[in-house]
Amino acid sequence: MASIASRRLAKELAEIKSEGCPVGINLVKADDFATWWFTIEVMGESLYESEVHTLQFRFDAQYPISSPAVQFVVTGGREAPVHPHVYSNGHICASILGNEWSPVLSVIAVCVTLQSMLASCKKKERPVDNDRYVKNAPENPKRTQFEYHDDTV
Amino acid sequence: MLFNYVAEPNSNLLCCICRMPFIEPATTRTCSHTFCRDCIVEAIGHARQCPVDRSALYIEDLLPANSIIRSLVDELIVECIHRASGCPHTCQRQLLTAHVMDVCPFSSVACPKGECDQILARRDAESHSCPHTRVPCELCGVKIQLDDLKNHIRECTDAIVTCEFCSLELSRSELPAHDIVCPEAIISCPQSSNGCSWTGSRTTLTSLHIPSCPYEAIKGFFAANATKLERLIEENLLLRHKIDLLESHLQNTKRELQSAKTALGPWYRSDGVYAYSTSSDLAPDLQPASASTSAHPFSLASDVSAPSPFDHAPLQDALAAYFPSGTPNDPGYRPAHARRQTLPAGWDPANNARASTQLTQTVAPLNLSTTLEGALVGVRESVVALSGAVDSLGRRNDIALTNEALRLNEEVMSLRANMHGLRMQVHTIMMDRNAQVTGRGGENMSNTDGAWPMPVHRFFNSGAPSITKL
Repeated sequence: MASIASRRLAKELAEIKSEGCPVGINLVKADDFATWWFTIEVMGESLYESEVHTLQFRFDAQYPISSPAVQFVVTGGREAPVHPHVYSNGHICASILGNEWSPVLSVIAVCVTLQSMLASCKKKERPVDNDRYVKNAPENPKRTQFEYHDDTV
Repeated sequence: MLFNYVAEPNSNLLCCICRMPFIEPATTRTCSHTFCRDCIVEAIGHARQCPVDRSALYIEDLLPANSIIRSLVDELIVECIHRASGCPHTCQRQLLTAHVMDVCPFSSVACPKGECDQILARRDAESHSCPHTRVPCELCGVKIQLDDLKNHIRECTDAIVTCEFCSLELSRSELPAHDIVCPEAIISCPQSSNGCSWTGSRTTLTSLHIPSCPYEAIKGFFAANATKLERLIEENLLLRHKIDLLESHLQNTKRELQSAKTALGPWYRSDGVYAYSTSSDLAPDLQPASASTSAHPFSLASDVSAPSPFDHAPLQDALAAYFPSGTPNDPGYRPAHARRQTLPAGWDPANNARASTQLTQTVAPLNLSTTLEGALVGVRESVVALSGAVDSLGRRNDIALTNEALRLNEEVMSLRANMHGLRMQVHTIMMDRNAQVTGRGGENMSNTDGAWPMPVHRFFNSGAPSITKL
């Protein structure tokens, strides 16, 4: 991994360890600069009360210029939250993970954005094209060309 | 270059893309955000917008950051990049390049002597004993790489070596010349090529061996022998070449002979054997006869033709054999046969007998028991005889024809005379008859009895003689 990406991730990890994560977000593992896991929980009153989900970040050599691959973990008893923008295979349809990614964003910033996305949800349901998408989805969500049409979340 | 900062830098001096103090800071003209130049150029290459506020942004919108910012980041204290190797040096960031390039003892430099391509730390460069350094050979003075010096000394031409025979010390380049004259060198007898198996030092050769060597004693003979042998070999070679030539000639001759044989057919026979031994169609009782007649054409002629060939003359003829399907009773035979008796001695009378017995068979037309010339002469004689016979036959026929024509002519003349007489008689009769019919004939009617009137008046009236004209 290019050293710019690893230095940037090392810096982020050092900040997480020194300053701690925001409320409801916890680092599960960050053994290398390729894959990190976080748990995410929506605090306060919401449809997802007392649900804990796991987020997986995968970084490539172009990070932070290119976005990390972010998805919910759906193996080992973990499940993706039922949400209009979250597919049952864990893929997330969110513009900041695709064309609205910015190099100034960080791992923690992404976690917080997704936390607020869940918190603002009004109806627990799968995306309308869930079955069709899951059947044909690529392994890496970054390779999906999502259409972002819902600006309410 | 990635710097390690001694103190935690002010967070206002951090690029929000790489999260490190700005390197070559650039500020956007449109939204006044500052980034490292490399970071923002790469980000714009990915998406043409400001990473902070997502406003549209192009490379042309980047300006060098304020010089205050530039000075602040350039004067941050950094560690030498060779700290892990042991360099404790720290300096302003803008000075680190000069330190690493020119001073830092841990920087990698090329071999200072420029004679090898090895890269080594600067602090080791002074004491570096380059294995590729060329050093002069202490014997011959040629510059040799340090690595190869040991090998070179082993073969250096100026190195002092010891002669293995006489222990004399001399340089290697002189050794070959010395080997030729070294008195202790082990050599073999000069007559070794002739079989002497003696070997020994050069001094003993001249003092001891040469006087006693049996080969040396007959040295002259060997030399003469060698030249003779050489000459013989040469001659042999020449002869072999000649034999080859002759063999090829022989082959040619054989081929020609073979073709001649094929052309000759049954007329070919080897010298001295005249019998046509392979002619199985000959009557067995005649074979000895023909063989013996070849040897003595006349002595046996009476025996063989004892039953008088002339008795059979009408039926048998020497020419009969030439015309297997001819009719033996042809009158032309006669003179030919008569002529045949005048044939020269070469014409074998035995043929006659043989021809007579073989008359009914279809046989080879010529006597196969004589030589080809004999047969040809015979054939020629036969043809001459035949032509003479044809000649005389022609003459005889001419005479006979003339005689016959004369005779016939006379006969025709007499017939013509007779015919004339008859015509005259008929005329007389006709005249009488005419007279009777026209009136004068009335007196003649009494003389007739109703038959044809007689031409008596005619004869009297005309007074013409009654004889027939010839």
